[in-house]
Amino acid sequence: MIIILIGFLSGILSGMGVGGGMVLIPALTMLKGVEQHVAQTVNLFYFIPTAVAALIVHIKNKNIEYRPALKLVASGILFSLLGAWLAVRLPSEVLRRVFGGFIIIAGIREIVSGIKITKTAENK
Amino acid sequence: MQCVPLRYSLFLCHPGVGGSPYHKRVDSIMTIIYGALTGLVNGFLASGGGIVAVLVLERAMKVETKRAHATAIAIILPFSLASMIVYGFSGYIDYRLIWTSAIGGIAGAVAGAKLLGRLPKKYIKIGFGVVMIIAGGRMIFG
Repeated sequence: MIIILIGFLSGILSGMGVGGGMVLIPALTMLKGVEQHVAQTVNLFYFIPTAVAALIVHIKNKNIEYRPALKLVASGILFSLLGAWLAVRLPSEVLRRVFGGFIIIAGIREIVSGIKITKTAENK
Repeated sequence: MQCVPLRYSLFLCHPGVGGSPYHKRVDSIMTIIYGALTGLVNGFLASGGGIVAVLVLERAMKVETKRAHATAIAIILPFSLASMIVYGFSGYIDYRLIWTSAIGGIAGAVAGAKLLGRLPKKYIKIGFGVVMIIAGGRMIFG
């Protein structure tokens, strides 16, 4: 089924450290006609298990900077609710367009970041 | 005029010595702004909060890249959980879709992690970037 494939591709990309959700959502909306809000919700849920798994590894390896994390989370938690609330109130088309704009910017950044990679610095 | 980059700012440069009360106050304000921005983006788009988080951590908080990516996950997780509540109450949960995507996703993540060392990241990123730009264009205009 196409959805499994879409999930698989997004998974590969996020496994490689390139954004997965930003593939999942457009793929679901454009290839499967999923509504923008629903697709975004799918991504939120889908992110949780992979995030938890990755976090367990990172915590074990002591890769996490707790103080910056705590500060940012404390500052932002209400705003994430606000952002979600705003998104929910907007019509699909508007949200879709904003999302499109965002991934264009993200795409440009990826290209620039990719160009900057030299052979020796390959293993980031 | 000496320019001391403020620890938590991307662009601001404060003339003088760091550590002053003024300096610290601006630091705190900037941190709150960055946290708010990250939360807002993540809640609004359900995606891409990680990008903002990594940017803030790397540039403003001077965290080393790998640790920034790891820490970003720790930041986005609570944000995503919070957003899920709002989206959930608004009736946008499609469990079948979630399950099906997740099955593919877990398999993909395993495959991706294994492929990580093998494939040239440079071209993956560039290709990915191109795809994203095209997809974004279609989302806006199509």
